Amino acid sequence: MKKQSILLIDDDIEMLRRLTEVFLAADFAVHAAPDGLVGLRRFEMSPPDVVVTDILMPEREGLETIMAMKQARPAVKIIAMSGGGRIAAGDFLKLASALGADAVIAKPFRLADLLKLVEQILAPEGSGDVGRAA
Amino acid sequence: MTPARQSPNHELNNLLCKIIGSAELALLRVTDSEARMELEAIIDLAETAASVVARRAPLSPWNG
Repeated sequence: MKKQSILLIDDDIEMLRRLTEVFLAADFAVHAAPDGLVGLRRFEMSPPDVVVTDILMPEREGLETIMAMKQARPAVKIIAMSGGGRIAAGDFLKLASALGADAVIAKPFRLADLLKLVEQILAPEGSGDVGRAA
Repeated sequence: MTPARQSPNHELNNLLCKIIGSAELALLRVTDSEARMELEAIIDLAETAASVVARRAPLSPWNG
């Protein structure tokens, strides 16, 4: 069975290392990028099943990156990581929609919660409840 | 490279996220029950710190 692929984008290399480690342990094919510009190049070279991107980054910000990716491949699933703090449960859908993402997770989060969110978002339609909050 | 515009809240949330992540990754490897309890305590403390950050300086998540 083909591994599911994930593109992780974060300018914080230590964070990127932790994210990479947890998704490798969960048997994903992992691609990582330190900013939106490199992320977009990797996205074009090897389109992933899901993208997890930080919002606030140098070079090319997360919002531009999300827009460019959705324009190129509208079906791609994108999760945005917000560093702005914990979000009230009802605000997740609104925020994700405003960002052009499929879901949002607020830092600080548990890696286990992010992994769960990715698995939910990749699950076939109707096979479970897709959580948008964390 | 253009520096990212991070507020103090973002910096704290990023650091807390890394602390939680490090403890979680260590939990994947550690089998000793006492060490696991310590790691879980670290995660709880980091989450409590995140609540304090949010309470002291609420910041809209809309700006990233």
